[in-house]
Amino acid sequence: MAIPEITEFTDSLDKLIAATREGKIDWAKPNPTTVVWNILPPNPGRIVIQQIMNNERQSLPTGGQVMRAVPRYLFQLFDNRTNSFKINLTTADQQQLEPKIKALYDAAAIGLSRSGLDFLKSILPN
Amino acid sequence: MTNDTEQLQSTVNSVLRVVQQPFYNHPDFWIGLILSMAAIAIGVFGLYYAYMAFKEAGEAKKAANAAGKTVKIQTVTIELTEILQKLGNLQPNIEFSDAWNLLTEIQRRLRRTVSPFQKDADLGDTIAALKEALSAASKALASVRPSDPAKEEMAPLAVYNAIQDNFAAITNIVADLLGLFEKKSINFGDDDGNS
Repeated sequence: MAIPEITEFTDSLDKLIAATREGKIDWAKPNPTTVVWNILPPNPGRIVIQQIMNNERQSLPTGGQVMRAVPRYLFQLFDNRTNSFKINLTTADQQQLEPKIKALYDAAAIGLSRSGLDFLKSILPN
Repeated sequence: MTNDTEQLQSTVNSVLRVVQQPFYNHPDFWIGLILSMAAIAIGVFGLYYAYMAFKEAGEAKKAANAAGKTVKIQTVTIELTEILQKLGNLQPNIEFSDAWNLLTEIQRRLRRTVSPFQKDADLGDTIAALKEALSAASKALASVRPSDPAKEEMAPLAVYNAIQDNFAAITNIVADLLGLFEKKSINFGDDDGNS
């Protein structure tokens, strides 16, 4: 992504984070490290954010290098009408986007935990 | 009485004559010496042949061991080549259960194949790295275990995204191991030729 596009993308991420925190987006968690928002018509599609462990070579302070598993995030925007990815990026390649994508992932995950707890509370006998 | 004395004197004289002659003038000394020498020569000859037989048996054992190792290493290289092909079969749309079966099979075959060599000075570090990569792959796969199998299609690439980096690491390590085993196989062949 070029710099103007990154700014536009981070603005959109900010809006998604805010909407998620306000509970306006219905995220789902198909597995422990992935959150998905199924977007309904008129623009059907889905946003998938997945936390992945990337094996990356890191420099040691004492010199030399070592392979370490680093948590990264995958962001995918899928368009159901064209059956194609409109955005498909990983924070291993776009490290400047990592704080925002991580924040969105965390907001979605916290929201899901919150709704789980709310449901648990609602079924508890008085 | 006089006769008896003379006879005794004569006997003593004949004994003295025999005793006073040097031992090497006696033919029975030479017969005895020759027989002893022949016995010693036969003994030394026997010892030499026993030593040679022992030495050759040792070398035959060494050659048999080396041949056994060569056959074993060739079996290992064939197995590793097959596993490399399996590792290359990871498809982007793989589902969790298929990935689980694939990883379980790869893990089982790799561990069984390399476990006899884990204390080998040339292979130990690479085998340790392989075990680490296999554990990391299992952990990565467990991180995308579907909470509900019906929801798996919500993120069809999740399994592939989670494990593809680990599979690439395992592939690289297996390729390294294959090279090391092939080198070992060649070395054993040379040893066989030299011995």
